[in-house]
Amino acid sequence: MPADGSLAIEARSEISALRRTSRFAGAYPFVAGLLLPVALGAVWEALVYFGLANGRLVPPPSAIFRTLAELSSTGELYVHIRATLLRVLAGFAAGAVAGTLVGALIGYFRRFRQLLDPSLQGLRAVPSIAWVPLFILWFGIFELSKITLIAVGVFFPVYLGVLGAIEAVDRKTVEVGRAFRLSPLGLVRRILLPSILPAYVVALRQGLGLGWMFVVAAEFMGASEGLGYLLVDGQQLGKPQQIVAAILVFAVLGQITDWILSLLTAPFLRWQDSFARAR
Amino acid sequence: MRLVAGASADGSATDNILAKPRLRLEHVTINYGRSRPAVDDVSLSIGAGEFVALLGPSGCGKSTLLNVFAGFRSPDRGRVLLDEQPHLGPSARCGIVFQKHALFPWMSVIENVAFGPRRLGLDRPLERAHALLDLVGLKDVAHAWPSSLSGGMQQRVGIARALATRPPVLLMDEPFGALDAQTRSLMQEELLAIWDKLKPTVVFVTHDIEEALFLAGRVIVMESLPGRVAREISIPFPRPRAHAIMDQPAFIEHRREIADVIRIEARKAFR
Repeated sequence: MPADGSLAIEARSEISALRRTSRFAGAYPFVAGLLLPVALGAVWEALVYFGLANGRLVPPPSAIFRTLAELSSTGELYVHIRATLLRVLAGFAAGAVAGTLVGALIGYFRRFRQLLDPSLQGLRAVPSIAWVPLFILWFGIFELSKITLIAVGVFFPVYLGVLGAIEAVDRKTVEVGRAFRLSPLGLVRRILLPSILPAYVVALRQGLGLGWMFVVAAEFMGASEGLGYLLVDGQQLGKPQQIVAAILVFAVLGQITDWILSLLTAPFLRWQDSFARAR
Repeated sequence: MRLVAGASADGSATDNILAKPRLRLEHVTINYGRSRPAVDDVSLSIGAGEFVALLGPSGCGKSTLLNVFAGFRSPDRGRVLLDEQPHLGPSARCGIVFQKHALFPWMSVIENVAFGPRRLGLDRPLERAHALLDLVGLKDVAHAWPSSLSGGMQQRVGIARALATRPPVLLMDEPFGALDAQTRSLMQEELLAIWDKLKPTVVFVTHDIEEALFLAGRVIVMESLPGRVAREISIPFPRPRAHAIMDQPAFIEHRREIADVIRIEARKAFR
């Protein structure tokens, strides 16, 4: 049987691929990635420590960590993290839901596309920060205007992702579904949804990334708490270590939320996972 | 094997052309909004259990005809009959195999094959699927993802999926067109073995003359612009067939005859 032969070959190549990766597996890539920043930090720390540089505008790592420790010991840090996180989550949820619904509507019904897509593309061309004055006039300077701005940022990548994914669905798989007389709803549930899921997850992650971007802009609009506030405060009071500390927290939170999102969606994409491995 | 019902596998010298018609086209015309129709007044009758190849240059409407057989497209004029009943819309009675396998990538191989039986509410869908996978020689990869299989294996899963509900008709749209020559010739022999066991009515679209001659009991050569039947040729080679028949003078003679027809047609379409 030809199947057995090709199977055996595939199995063998898979084993050798495993062997190849195992040599580099484990901590090495992670450690390698850390070498440069750690070395730069150590050099800068040493220069400031021995008085060769004053480190007032570019704080050494120790100063940054001291600031982080202080902020966290007073509990202040968590108030800011909480405020920012809630804004991102609320804006992301609103933007993702809207983007998904509009994208699905336009992707599924051609007529809606001709009607709505040109306007949406026009709105997309507006730099989102340009909305800020209008949103403040409409929604005031408190939470609603901030969350709306974040939602606008999240909306477009999700909308475009859903639309593109629906357009890229393999027409033949839909025909197989039709041959077995799936209802329109059945086609959506059993064929369209699983087909678009991988691209949808990518779009959600892009949306989340933009959500983190826009929360900073939103908090620059004037906020009494939040990581963006820490940035502005650090600038106004000349505390660069506080600015860098807030940037670090942004980076860590962005990574963690992205990781949680991909972890939550991973069970639906197991088949794609194996695709990546087969490559 | 439980799935093989009622088929007479007596290795008869010719396909059973006198059997009652399973698929019939009556004066079918299809326009794609161009000056000349894509398919122009085509009438065909395909008997139950027959293996027919639709052969022609690209653009001759052979894939369009297959879509008509499948019920994905209804003719602008004329009628399509399945078992002498008007055939309207897609139906589970026609299994379809595409050039690009069109498997569901999010389902394991066995779930892909069991999709049809589950949809139709047949009993023991998984058992049926396993039997079909066994038939195409893939029982070892039942739980693999389609993306991890080779092109030939994916196409065999496609065939198993199309046959899992035991449809009386199997429609194949250049199913081996994307495979390398060696895999393709193995697949051709395997397809004949499967056909011999289950005896579905097969309509096989291809532009490969040798493939059509090797597989089919009847080759329908299409001409293009407008799409019409240029010639129908009965292929007399006894079954079961092996690739060795390709060296026989009769095979070569048929090949030359068809190639002459197709060359004229291809030139017409080329302009």
